[in-house]
Amino acid sequence: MSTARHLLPLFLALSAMAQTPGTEFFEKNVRPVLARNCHGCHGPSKEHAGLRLDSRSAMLKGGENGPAITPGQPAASLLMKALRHEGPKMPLGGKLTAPEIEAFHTWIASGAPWPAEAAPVRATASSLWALKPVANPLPPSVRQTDWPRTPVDAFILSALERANLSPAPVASRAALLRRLTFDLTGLPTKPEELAAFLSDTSPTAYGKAVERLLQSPRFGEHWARHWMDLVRYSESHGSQGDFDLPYAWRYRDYLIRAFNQDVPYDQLIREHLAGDLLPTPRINQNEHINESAIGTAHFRMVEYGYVPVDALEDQFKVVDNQIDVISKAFQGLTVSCARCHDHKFDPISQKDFYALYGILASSRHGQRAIDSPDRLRLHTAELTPLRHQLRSELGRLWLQSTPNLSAELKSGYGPLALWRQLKDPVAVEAFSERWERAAAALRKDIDAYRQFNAKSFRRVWDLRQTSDLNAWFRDGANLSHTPASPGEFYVLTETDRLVNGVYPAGVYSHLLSRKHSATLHSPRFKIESDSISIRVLGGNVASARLVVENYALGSGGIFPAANLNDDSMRWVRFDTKYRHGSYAYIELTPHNDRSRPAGGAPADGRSHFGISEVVFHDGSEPPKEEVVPAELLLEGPAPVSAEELAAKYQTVLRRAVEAWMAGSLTETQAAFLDFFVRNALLPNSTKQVPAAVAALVEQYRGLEAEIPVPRRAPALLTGTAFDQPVFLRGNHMRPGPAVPRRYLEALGAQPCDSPQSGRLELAHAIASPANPLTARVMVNRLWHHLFGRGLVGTVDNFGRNGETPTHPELLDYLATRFVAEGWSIKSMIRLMVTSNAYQLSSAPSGEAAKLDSGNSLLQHARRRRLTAEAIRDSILAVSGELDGKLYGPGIDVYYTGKTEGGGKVGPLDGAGRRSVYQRIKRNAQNPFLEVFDSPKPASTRGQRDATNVPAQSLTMLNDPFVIDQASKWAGRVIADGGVSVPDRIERMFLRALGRWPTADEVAAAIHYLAPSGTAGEELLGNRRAWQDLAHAIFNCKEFLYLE
Amino acid sequence: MPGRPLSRRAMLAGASTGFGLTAFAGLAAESNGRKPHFAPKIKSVIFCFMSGGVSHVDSFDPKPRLTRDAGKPMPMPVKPTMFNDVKGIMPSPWNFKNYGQAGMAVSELFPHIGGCADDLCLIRSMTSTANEHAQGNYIIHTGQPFLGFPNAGAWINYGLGSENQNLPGFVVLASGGVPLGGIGMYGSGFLPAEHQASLLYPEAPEALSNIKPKESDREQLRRLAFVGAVDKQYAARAGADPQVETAIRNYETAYRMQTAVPELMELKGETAATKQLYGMNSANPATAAYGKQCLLARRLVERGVRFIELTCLMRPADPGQSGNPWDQHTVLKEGHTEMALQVDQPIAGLIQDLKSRGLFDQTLIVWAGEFGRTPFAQGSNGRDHNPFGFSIWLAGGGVKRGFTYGATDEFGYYAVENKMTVYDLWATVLHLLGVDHERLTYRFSGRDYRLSDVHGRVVKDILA
Repeated sequence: MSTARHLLPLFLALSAMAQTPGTEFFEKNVRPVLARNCHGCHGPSKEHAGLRLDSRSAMLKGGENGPAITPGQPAASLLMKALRHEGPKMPLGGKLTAPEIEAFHTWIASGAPWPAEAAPVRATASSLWALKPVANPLPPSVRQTDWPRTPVDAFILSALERANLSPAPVASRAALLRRLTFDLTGLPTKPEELAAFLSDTSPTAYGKAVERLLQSPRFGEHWARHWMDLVRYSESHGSQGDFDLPYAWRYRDYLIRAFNQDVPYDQLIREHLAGDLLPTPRINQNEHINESAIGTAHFRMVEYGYVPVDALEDQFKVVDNQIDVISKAFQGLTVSCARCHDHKFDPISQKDFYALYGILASSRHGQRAIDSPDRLRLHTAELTPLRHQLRSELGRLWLQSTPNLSAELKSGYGPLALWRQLKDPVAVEAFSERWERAAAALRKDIDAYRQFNAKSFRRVWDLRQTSDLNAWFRDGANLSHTPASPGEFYVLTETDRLVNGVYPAGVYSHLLSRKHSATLHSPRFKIESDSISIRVLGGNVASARLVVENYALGSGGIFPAANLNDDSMRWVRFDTKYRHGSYAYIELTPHNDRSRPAGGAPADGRSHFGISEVVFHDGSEPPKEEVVPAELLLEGPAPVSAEELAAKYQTVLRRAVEAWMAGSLTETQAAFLDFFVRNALLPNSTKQVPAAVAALVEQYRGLEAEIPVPRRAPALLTGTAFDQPVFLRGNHMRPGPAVPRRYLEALGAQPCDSPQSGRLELAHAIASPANPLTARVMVNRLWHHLFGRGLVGTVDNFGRNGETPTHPELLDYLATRFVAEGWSIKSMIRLMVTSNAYQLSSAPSGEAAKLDSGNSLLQHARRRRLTAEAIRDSILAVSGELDGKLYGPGIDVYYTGKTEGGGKVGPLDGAGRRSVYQRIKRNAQNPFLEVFDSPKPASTRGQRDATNVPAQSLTMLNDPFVIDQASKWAGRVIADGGVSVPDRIERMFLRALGRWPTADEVAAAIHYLAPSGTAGEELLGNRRAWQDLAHAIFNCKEFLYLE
Repeated sequence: MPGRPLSRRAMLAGASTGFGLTAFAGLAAESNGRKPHFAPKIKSVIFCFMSGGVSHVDSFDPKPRLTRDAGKPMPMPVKPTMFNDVKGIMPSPWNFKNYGQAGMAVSELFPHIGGCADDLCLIRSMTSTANEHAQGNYIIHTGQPFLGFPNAGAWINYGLGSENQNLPGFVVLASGGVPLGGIGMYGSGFLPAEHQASLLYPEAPEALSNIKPKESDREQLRRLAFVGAVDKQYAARAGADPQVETAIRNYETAYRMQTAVPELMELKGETAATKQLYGMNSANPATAAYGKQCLLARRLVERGVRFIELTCLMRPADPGQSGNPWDQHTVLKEGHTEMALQVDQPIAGLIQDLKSRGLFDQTLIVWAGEFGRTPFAQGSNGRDHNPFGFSIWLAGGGVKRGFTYGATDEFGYYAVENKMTVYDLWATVLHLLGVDHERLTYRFSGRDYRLSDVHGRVVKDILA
């Protein structure tokens, strides 16, 4: 990989042919000046201000400031103004000489003649091979007709025959089984599997092995890890803080299940892009999981900035990365290259980039419950009538009770303040006068609140209105699409108290259970006020925040946010001055749906929120609470005595209870009743109510307890769809015209005509048999993993800068068959590994080494180094320490060096779990895996490095994990017995290398075990000696390579 | 030793797979890619990274107006800051003094470095585009604000290779904390992993991960002999496969590294006077530890290592900021005093020692943080981040000495004269190494990447 990489001749040289007299002047006087002074910034390598000056068409097209020239009108030409320093001063290197400027004038005046030219070109949709429709070629005929085992072989052999090469012989059966086992499961062959395979001499033995491995749960673990490379799987967000991405591992488990169940690839794509929007989600009946809902999690595996001052810039980076990943992973295209300008090589325009940007930025970042609908709505049908019943029973009880108005209370007296003020006679003043004064003061206060609220605030959303609520976005199976009327409540689950209180009208996440998952978010709006206030309540560290430009990690400071721990509605103000001009939305979630968990997480998964109103304003004071329960006491005839006032309290309360039972409660009545309930002035505890009511509550609690805490996964959520303006030259401070949301024009995409983001349309456009890239890219990836190199070597880039296929017909044959067989990944793998081509020996023939040194014709198998995960997993498998447990949260990593934010240091052996289950933190990666080239989770990495460096040798020699595993292996070797030293050596070779040792190797091992020649009984029990041999075998190169 | 010598011909003949490429590159490069593009001025770079952001208006860029307008609001628009706690203009708590024949103004924070003023090429117009540590760290190390791109040290090793096969070509001396954003910023990004930094821990029992054999040399040699015997048969079966050959050869290198690294770290041979020069006898343990890094940096330069980065140690008073110890949003005076005490004498010692040994001309010291700090106060006694204009300096071969380049406005807020970017910095450093930054490219995911991305210019004005 030398630095002297020769760029392809990317742009056709300007042709000087077909010159006319007019062009002679140009060639002599203008072109040299352009080349010398202008093309550096306005030519093939740079396009400052979007302008190129290396063709007439480019000059006519111009840049951001309009056309550079108007032929025949030098005075009107921007170029002349720039050269004369009458506007922008060009060139940067200094003003041209007067004769040079005059030459430009003359040239433009004469119509700006330019020799016939080939304009700078990039590939077009019709010229790029990968965009042509997939053909359905028949397998070619071959001379050696008895060689092909499958149609794949016909294509391979045909190409070899054209090159006068013969395929290598088939690999030894032991080597073949080892290759197959690693390729399908990422693990070594077990000795008993090898024995069974070798003893089965039937022609179906290999096919049986293939089926056994395809059905193994290890298959999904191994192929999920391949996929994770494509979506830069990570469990944290990097940057300062390296915040965890909650439940990221759910997506890893989803992949493992999907590969094991052979979910059709087109389905997998649809789930990845729009699993949340599919009309019929894929439900896992065993696990009660909505699998489709997990698909979009990969979009969340992005690196967010830490409290970015410029939130839009951060969004730009995030969306750019998302586009980079999906375009490479699914399409083998580098769409992200078109961020600043049209793609230089491929038919992807800058507009294409921003058309996709709009689709992705129209989706929001959050968490989603992934339980199947039956689990999410468990007992909903039973709990709802129980609540009604409870309301009636409690209402009846409360109508019969007379609260003690003079009780001592801890947290304020609310509507009882009047009573406390007036209940005791005062000598000098009559009750009526005192009442009038107090009532007037109260009225005045209430009027002042209302006036203040009316003049200073713009109420943008009143979520007590169905129409406003329906303008918002709701995620959560139990989040109602109609607002709650005044009078709702929830049944307490932890204490003697029965209900929390009586809520005002609003939207609540938890009326049936505080375990329910819910995300409620507003439409997108532009921040134009200094403050935004919301009237909210909540409990157990629920969250209310302003999500600015989709930044998912905001938690206060310059990203306004509040933790909700108060169960009564109150106004919370967000200071939004800092964010003027930014786009934002308001988001409410219970704790477990937060994108960024806070401290004090509820252990039982219960948390809740409620919201009623949103106002925008400029003052620094939020609105006053204008629902004042005491106002009810002002209605009707004025009381003339304390007794009458007491009676008035009872009347108001009775009416409120009656209204509550009838479902006709007003906001003020609700607040009045709420006060008495919350302060236990009405019976509200198991001790105060009749057994029948207590039993009702018990029944409710019993059912509620059975509701599972929903399992969540990171997800994209639906938000306001909008078209994204182009960022001129990739500068987010310079928005240009908006581009309608759509997929790539080169693939014939039309703007989406739905009010949705367009993700669903995108999913269908990619997961389509008509898409020329989707199937080709995927079968090529499978080929890459099985043959060590794709038919297209650049697996992530099918563009002009990538490689062309070595076997184009085979690629198309496979792509066609892939679609025809229902996009079955396992079928495709089966087809590939049962081919003769897959089963060849890795020894090249002499001619092949000469004629095809890169082995692009696949005359023989490629020798491959195992992946980092396979190396670590092999060590565990060989030592006998591998724990085959599937799924679950990531295991904390054992760090040998310094890390930042690495969190807890995990067990040395990673709990014996496969590498796919080791936790992946962006800022503190697994040092063992990293040394063997596990990819950094930055972007799509379809083809890993396989570096070959001394640090790997040092790791295998001195890493405590390797030594520990050697020791454990030695323990097992001794425990398993073995009659003799050579017998044991043989078993160890078989276990680690999948083959028998040679006589020389046995002799060398005996000598190594017992240098002084005493290989007797005592050696059989010498653990240190066997550990040394085990450690040495791990260090044999053969251990790391696949033949 | 195991294995057999690798012949170039065997390697070329056996290059029939795509996987031996990186090892192969090492050899191929000798003859083509890894030559400098033109005659280099320097061989090695020492990057003294001041993590957290040194306040330029308190160190290398005196601004009398801060004193005159103390407490007043900034007379120009203030850009959004991370903590949104913008207070009035804050004068520097330190006095400045003119040093050397050049009369370079340096504050009391850095008397020793000030004493080397005639060796410094001071740049007062540095800029960055990030307002946040992790992104700023990634930008100054890789040119991009996030994971996945190669560190400048990786680029340099990729471009030039190492002169010492027994030591890594890119070393981070990790006595201090890992800068915010994690060790990924020392990585090789999309370049082959062999170019990433190796972290050496001067204070740890094992200076390099897994460098220390867990057994006697005799036992290890016996193991290697057995492994060699098995490998030899395997290599024969594998034909002359370069990846297998290289993997075998790596064990030889690894074995030698087990000696070379401890030998590097062993400072017994250094005189007391040398150690004193570096401040290693300082009563302040952080100064002594930073001094040790500086001395090791010289030893690495002597051994032909291309790129060495030093880390700042945390302030004991603020262990929460081990990754960004210069980051004084509060208690600027105390924090900067302590941090300057840590690095001032050791870095000056390094300059003097390199000079006395004739190494200064072939080495470039780069002294920089990820950004500067605001001229206005944050809270009562701190400064917020300021990427719009700050000071860095270079010293060594190929750059002017006793020279000041660029300027910020009279408050030190924005760079206004000869504004310099991170891309310009690395383009210039590459130039000094004999590398054209526009020709040092690597094709990855559809385009040719550069350390200077699509930007950067060699700042000719500062070249000697």
